[in-house]
Amino acid sequence: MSAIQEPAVKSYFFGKGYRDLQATIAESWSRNLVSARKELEAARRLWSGTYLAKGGAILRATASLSVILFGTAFFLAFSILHIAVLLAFFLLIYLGFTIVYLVERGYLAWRKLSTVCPECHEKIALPEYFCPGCGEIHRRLIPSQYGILHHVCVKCGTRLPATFFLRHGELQARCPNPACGYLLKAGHVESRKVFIPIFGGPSVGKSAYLFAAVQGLAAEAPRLGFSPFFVDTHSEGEFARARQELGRGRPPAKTLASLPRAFSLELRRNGQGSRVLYLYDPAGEAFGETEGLVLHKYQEYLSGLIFLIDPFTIPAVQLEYQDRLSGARDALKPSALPAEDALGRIFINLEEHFGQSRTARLKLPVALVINKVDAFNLEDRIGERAVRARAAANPTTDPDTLRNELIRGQLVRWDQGSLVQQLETRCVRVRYYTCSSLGRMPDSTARPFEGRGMLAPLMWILGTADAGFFQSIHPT
Amino acid sequence: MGQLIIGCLGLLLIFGVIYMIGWLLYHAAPYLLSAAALYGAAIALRNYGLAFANNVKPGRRAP
Repeated sequence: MSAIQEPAVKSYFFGKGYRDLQATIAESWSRNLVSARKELEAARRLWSGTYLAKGGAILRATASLSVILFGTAFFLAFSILHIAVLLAFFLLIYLGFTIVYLVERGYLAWRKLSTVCPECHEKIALPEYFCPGCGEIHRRLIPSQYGILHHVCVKCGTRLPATFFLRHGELQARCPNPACGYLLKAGHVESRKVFIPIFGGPSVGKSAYLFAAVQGLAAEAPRLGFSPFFVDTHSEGEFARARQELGRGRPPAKTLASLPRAFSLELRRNGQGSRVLYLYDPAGEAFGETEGLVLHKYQEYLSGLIFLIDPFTIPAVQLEYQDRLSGARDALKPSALPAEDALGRIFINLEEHFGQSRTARLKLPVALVINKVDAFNLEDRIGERAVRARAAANPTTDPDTLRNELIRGQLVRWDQGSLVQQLETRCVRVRYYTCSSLGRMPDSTARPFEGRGMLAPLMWILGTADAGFFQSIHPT
Repeated sequence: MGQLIIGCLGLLLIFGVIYMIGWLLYHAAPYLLSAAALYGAAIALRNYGLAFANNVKPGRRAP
C-alpha cells in the first residue's frame, strides 16, 4: 500500500527533528576533525623548535587528541539527550493526536454523524478537503503527525482545522471516490442524516411527490418548529424549477437518472441541532428489473421507505373505472408496472445485494402511499375525506388506525391481498396513506398544482426513524 | 680551595635548578596536560554547539 503524501507540514518531532540530529552530528564531526587537524599542525610546527616549544607541541597534540575523544563523547551524550527529547515530544504528540482522533470518532459515532455522498451514495469515512488558500487537496485532514488540531498547508501556509470540533466540515470538501469526486457541502459532511427513498414503478408520480412534499415541508416548517435550508445549490435549483412548473400547472419533468442524486434538505431546530434529509427519486424504470437497483447503495443505510403506488395499475380499479378511464388516460398516465412486481424487486435487491436475510423483517418504517386519489371519487373512498367520515363515526378510534384499516381493506378488495401480505410479512412497521401529489387531474389549463397528503407519510417516517428529534411533530 | 668551593656550589646550584625544573615539570605536567585536554574538550563542545545552532530549527513553518 503506498502512503498518501499529505500536502501539509509534518510535525517537527515526526521527521525533521531526526534529520536535524543527523545533520548536527555530521557537522560537529567535521568541525571536530578540522579543529583536531589544526591543533596537530600547530604541534608539528612547535616540535621542530626549542625544548619549551616541544613542550608546547606536546600540549597541542594532547588538545588535538582531546578534541577527538571529547568530541565523540559529547556527540554521543548530546545525541542521546537530543533523541530523548525528540522521543518525549514524539510520544506526547502521538498521544495527543490519538486521543483527539479517538474522542472525535467516538463523538461522531455517538451522535450518529456521518458523511454520505449524495451523488455516488458511498458512506465516506473521510472526505477530501480543499485548502481555502490555494485549493490544494488534503486527503487526511485528521489529528495526525501533521498536527493535532490544525494542519499547515505546505503550499500556502494556511492553517486548516484538522478536527470536527474545529468545524473542518465547513471547508469545501469532495467525495474521495475517484469515480465520483462530487463537491460536498457542509450539510453533507459529518451531519446527522435521514435517508428516505421514494420507490415505485414508472409514472406513479414520485418526482411530483418529492417536490410537493418538500414544498409542504417548507410551508409547514414554522408551525413544526423547523427552519429548512437547502444543503446544495443543485437541490435548490431543482426545487425552484419544479415549483415553477407546478405553479404553471405542469407536472415536473420525468426523472431520467436510474441512479438518482440525493435531494438534500437541512432541517434546523433551535437548540436541538439539525438533521439533513436525503430524499431519493430514482427513475421508475429502475424497478423494471432487479439489476436496476444494484447501484442504489443508499439501500444500505435507509431510515425509512416510501412506496408509492398508482391505483390505476390495479386491474380491479381499471375495471371499476373503465367507462371514465379511457377519456382520462392521457391525464392519469397509469403506470405500466404492477406495484407487487416493483415491491418484489425491491426486496429481492435488498436480499441479494444489501445483506437483507430472506426471512428477516425490515425494521425501518415503510409507508405505502396510494397516489392520484384526486381522480374520480377515490378521495371519497380511500382519501382523507373518507378517513374523516370514518373518524366522525368512530370518535374513540385513532384516525391513523382508521386510515390503515380503510386503505388496507380497500387494497384487499381490489385483489391486492398478496401485495399487502408481502409488505406486512417482510416489514415490521407499515402504514398506509393516500395522497395526490398534483392535487388535481392534469389538464390543458395553467392552474397551479397543489398536492396534498404527502407530508403525513414523510413525517411518520421521520418521527419513527428519529423519534428524539421529530417526536413533537404532528402534521395535519 | 675557594675555587673548589665555588665550583661545588655552582654544581649544586645547577643540580638544584635542574632538580627544580624536573620537580616542576613532574608536578605541573599532569595539570598542563589536563589543561590541554580541557581546551580540546571546550573546542569539541563549541563545535557541537555551533553545529546544533546551525541545524536544529524546530517549529512548523511552511516552506
